[in-house]
Amino acid sequence: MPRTARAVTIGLVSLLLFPLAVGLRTGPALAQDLVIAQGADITTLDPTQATQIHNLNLFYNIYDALVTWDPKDIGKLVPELAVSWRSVDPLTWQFKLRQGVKFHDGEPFNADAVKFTVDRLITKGVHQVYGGFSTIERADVVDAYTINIVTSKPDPILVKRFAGYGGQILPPQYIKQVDWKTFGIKPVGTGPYKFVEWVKDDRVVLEANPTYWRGAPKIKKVVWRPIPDNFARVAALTRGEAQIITKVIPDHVAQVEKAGCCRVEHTLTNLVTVYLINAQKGPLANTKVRQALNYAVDKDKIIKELYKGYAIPIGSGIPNTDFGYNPKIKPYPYDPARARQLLAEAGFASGIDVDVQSGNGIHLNDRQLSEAVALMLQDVGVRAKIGVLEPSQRSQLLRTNTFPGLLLADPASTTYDADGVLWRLRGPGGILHQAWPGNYEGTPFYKLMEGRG
Amino acid sequence: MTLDSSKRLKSYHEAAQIWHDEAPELFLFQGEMIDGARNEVVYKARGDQRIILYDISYR
Repeated sequence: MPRTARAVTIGLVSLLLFPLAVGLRTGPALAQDLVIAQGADITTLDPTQATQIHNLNLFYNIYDALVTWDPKDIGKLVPELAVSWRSVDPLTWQFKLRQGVKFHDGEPFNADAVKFTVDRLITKGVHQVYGGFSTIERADVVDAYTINIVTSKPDPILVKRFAGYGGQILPPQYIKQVDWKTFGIKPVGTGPYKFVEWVKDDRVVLEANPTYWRGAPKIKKVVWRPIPDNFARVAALTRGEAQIITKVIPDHVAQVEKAGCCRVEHTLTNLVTVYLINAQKGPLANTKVRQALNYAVDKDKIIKELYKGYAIPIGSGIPNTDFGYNPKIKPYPYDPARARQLLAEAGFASGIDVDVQSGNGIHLNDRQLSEAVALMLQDVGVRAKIGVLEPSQRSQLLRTNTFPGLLLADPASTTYDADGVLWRLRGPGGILHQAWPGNYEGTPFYKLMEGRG
Repeated sequence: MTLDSSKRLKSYHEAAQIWHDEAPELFLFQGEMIDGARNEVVYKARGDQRIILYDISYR
């Protein structure tokens, strides 16, 4: 017994000594640095070449945009590099720019930088963000701190477009000196943090910009680490190797909370989770059948059991964070009897066969979600066949609108305006246009959205 | 498209009603994002999922 006790004591002492030694070697300043763990490494630091949030998070700190969202009211615009803006005629938005701002390498920020950025954004085929800026015809420099942005047709959400991805203002002189490829790995912006290094699959390091126009940031050094495994990310947080982690899955919330060191921070996003229905032919072309599917699924139960309550049910694809959300539209209530009745009225009293497809790990709990939905559908006579798709297969079926039956997706309006989900996705040329004849030319939906007033 | 936002809102509301009624989707839920943070760090999750370092500090 004494031997065991002694061994335990020695073990504790060496455990205590080790972090102490590390602390002495590296100095106490490290305590004020910050490590953030995300689910994936970035792919680029060129803000025109990526749209996924883990990349954008770097862009929003290295660069500034003309405008950004009010942190207390996402979707409401506040000034950043623009100090004001107004529509001077139906096709022209004029921005007044902030004076005295410099890029990290000393290059001045002015209307030439905005024109250079807009010229890049409206060049088709060379970057990932053209779709958000396709209404722009050109940018005209009025004077060093005034720029006009001219659209090809009246565009009420033009200013909002600059708050989303792709809106970061680029340094023209630096990019002309290096090239786009070098820029994408050694970026220069006007933002609160300067780029230090990027070691692929290991870390991206940023340091505070001491001359930032809003004043120097509080935290001096920030390290972004990719940790793809959900559980490993939580472990990094509770062990103190990271101070902030993204994408905690609902099943791991208790783990974070019971550790004593840590908490979860959560909020509704603008992502809606739906099964797209291919309504072009067969039973699913019948509106009553599609309504029956909506009545057949118990959304509250799914939210409670699969997502631990971290979601709210919806009655249309417009999230409550969008301009255009209609609070009068309620979710379809769970009513299996009504679902069976609608199927019978549509002439399918003996049931129908439907494919229910998703990826595996593309969306949170996607496979389990399909299984839960399939069981509920079976209950009303819809024989669901579950399919699990590879990412490439899934995006091909989606792009061509050739997916059979139901396909899991989470569309969103990046501008916090319902124009995104209603028309960018559903209008002519939109990725979902073919799947539902109810949005084809000449339909009431089409007429409303084409005119938008 | 009109620059008149009240007209635009009306069109959106009517289009959304058609969307709901004709159900070209099985509408499920609007999700939350969940981040984890150490207690010593001042940090709030944003609805746009952005991590804005300028607003983060130590207690």
